[in-house]
Amino acid sequence: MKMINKILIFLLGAVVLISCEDILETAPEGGTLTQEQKKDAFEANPALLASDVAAMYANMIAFGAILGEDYHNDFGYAAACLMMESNGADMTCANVGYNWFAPNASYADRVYTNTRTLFIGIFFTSKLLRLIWSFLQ
Amino acid sequence: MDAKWGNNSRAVPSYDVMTDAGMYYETFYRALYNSKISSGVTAAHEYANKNLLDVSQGGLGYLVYTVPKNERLVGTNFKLNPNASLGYSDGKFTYLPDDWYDELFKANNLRQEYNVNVSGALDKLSYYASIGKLDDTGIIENSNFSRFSTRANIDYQIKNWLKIGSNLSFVQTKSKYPSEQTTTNSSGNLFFLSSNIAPIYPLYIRDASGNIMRDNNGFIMYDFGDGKVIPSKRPFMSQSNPASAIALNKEFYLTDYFIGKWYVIADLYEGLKFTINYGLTNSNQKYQYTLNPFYGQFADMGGAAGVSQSRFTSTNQQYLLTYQNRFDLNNVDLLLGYESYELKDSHLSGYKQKLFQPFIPEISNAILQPSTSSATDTYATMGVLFQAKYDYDSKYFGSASYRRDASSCFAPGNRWGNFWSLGAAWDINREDFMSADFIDLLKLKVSYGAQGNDKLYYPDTEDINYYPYIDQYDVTETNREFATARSYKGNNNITWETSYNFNMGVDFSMFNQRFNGTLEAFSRRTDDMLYYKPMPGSSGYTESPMNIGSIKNSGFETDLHMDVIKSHSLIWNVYVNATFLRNRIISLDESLKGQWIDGNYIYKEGSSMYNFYLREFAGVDPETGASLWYKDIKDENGNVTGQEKVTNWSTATQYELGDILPDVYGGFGTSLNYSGFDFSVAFAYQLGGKIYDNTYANLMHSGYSSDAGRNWHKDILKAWTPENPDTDVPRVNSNDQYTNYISDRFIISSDFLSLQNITLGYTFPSKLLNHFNINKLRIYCVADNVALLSARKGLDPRQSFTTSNAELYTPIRSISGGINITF
Repeated sequence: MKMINKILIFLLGAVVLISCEDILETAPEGGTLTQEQKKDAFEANPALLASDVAAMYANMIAFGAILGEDYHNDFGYAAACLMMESNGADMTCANVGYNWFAPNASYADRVYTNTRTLFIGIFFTSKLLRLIWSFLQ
Repeated sequence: MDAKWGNNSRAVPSYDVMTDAGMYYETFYRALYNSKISSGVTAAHEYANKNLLDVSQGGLGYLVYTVPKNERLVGTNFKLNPNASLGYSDGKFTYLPDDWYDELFKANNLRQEYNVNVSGALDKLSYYASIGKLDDTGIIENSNFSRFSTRANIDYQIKNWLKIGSNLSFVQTKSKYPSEQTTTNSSGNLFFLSSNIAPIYPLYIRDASGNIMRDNNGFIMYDFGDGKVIPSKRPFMSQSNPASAIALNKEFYLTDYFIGKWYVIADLYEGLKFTINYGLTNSNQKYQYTLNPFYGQFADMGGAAGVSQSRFTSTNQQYLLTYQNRFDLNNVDLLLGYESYELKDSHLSGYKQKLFQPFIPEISNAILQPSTSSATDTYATMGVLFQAKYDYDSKYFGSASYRRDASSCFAPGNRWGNFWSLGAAWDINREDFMSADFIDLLKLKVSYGAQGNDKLYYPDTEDINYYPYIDQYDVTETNREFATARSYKGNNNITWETSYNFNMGVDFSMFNQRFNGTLEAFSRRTDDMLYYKPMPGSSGYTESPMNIGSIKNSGFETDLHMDVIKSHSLIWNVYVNATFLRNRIISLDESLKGQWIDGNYIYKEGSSMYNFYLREFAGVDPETGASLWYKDIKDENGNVTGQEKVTNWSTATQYELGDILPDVYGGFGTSLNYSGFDFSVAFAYQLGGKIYDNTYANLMHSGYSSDAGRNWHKDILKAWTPENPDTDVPRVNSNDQYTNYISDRFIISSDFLSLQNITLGYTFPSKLLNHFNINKLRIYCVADNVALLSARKGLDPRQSFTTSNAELYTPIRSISGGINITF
């Protein structure tokens, strides 16, 4: 076979097989949803816009959303209520074994760096801000 | 052909914890006593005696001694009643402590490994094929691993200018891997419980005559410490008994891996070649489990079953044009190419509760609370590359390369990164002026280059974030409608992280290659690090990915081999290698102003990134036995004017403790061959670093109520008492919450020496074997991960540069014997 033919065959093969830059345009399917995917869905069906507002409620009981899933007491609004409740002078609890709210009962959360204080602070501000953000967008 | 049989055991010894129930009762009694004394109560002995076993008052719950009527378990001299005998029966049940470790770990496990391979060549074809089998029964119940692997390689010269090849491998693994064994503080972790439970608690429920009871199903009855069967409650890890979960839950993985590589090489014209490489990697994993309906957390729900299936496929393509030729003494090697990589990662999982058949891990076997999910992720990179290598008479070498890569992880404008390298070498020994005969090789080399990294995980997870530049939302359900909440805040501006590597060194060999080695200095600086920058919580999210800061790892590496004796029948070889490493933060994000404190770590420009920021232990108050920490005294302007010792941990000041990274690590060993016998040993070591010993800290608690029932390290016997005021171990006191909280008290040297491997073999003389048509026959005995010497018994500094936890499925020692035959 002539050399020029060999080269042609291989270059042709390479051109056919080499993918174009499109392969870099990736997006999740299921799992998470990107901003763009969300926008496309909203444009196709404006009724879905309500889902941004509904997120406010759905988020109220998200597990591990603020401190991470290592913190089993990070389960949203109900956790914040229980923390505040455990701060009450009329609330007693045994400090034995697992007790996610013992530090609240012993007022160990009265320091601004305590993870429980952080949790309450971030939880409510982030809920509010996320809502404002999604309206602005 | 190679066959190997052996046995596994835990490689690291356990910490020196209490194993005597009486000793534990005595110490805990003192903790209760001290708690009253320190608050000025006089009837402290009465209090301690009354509450020692009362769980609701911070006591231990279980009485495992028979004490004569109207006598105390622990006397006012803090000693166990000499008339007490181990084992107690209330007429219905017998209370007897168990050694959880000895009961739970299988001594008679077996590891078997077999490998067979063939290779050869015909006229235009060469081949290689192998199969292998490994079976390992694991060191705890219901854990095992088996693997079947096979490989087939073929290279074929079709025409004198065209060569093709294929390289296929398939691996199937089956494993039982009880979950939670790697979660340090989990109640389901056998390793955690067996090393942390006080030596007073039974593992089993025993009847009045002391026999281990079985339930209606014939299952062994384990004690959950919840008061449901026997009336006693355990304060430590109540409602759990991992032995039961491991015996009755089912959990297994079945995984297939296929890896294929194919190539075509065409000789186009005098050294000009065109190569196509194609690679395909595919793995499919099925994971199934049941959570038993009899005991434990899922008993109330009737058990549960889950199945998940994941599929991972990646393809890699390379098109390379290469040119290699020699002109007199000039050697030229050029490469121009294109490369792309694509990956799809998908999974599907389902779960239901309330099992019909308790041991069948299929979803249709259960009826309630169904939950399913599935998702697919895609990732791709592409790039062009160029490389040139040149040498003159194998004396002077030069090389240069350049590549331009794009990653789907970044936004369209920030996708491409440029990476390159330059290198040079000089073989001095080939110069005429080098006339020293004893030198065989002396080569100087230097190189510098830039490499890219695009990998970023979701914060605090090990899940790769394939789209870190995009805002991401979760789609969930609320009141039968959609809810789309943002789960991740992306950053459009992020791009490649780049590492710049500088290497300079010398390779040498002398005395007829009896002494050879490498000396090398290196410096690796990473710029634009992909990192999550913490954001103020008020911004609506806690972190955002950024290219921030740069760090530098620099050091010196050496690797030396020497044949001390080399004669016809005897060869004795020694080797040593060492890496001296230094880590420095070059710069942090500007907004941090040169310093970032993240909990117990401090990151400062110019300092190591392995730098603790902890309270400093200031010893024991000789009057009261309380633990003391240092606190800065400040004037009105905030200037530090002095230091005081405080008993309140939370008010103490945190200090920077300095670099904890080891100065040097490496290995050394020796091998000996003498008329058919071969013997070798290999060691690994690390020197000059420090580590936080978390397990030890947990075992040095003060008897505080949430630690009741947790075992003690025997060092607690040196704790402060009025008779023993000069000690560095604070008092036990069940009111002292902070005694063992994180401080530099638990920082210890991370130096270690480990015996990694011992091998002893014998190769039969070939004269003898020729009668049987055997080419080579060797029998051998191997021990891996044999022993570890560290600053404290039980401490394994090999896991991490910062913190050590012994409560994991730790490295195992394996000892095996084998036979190797070549026909």
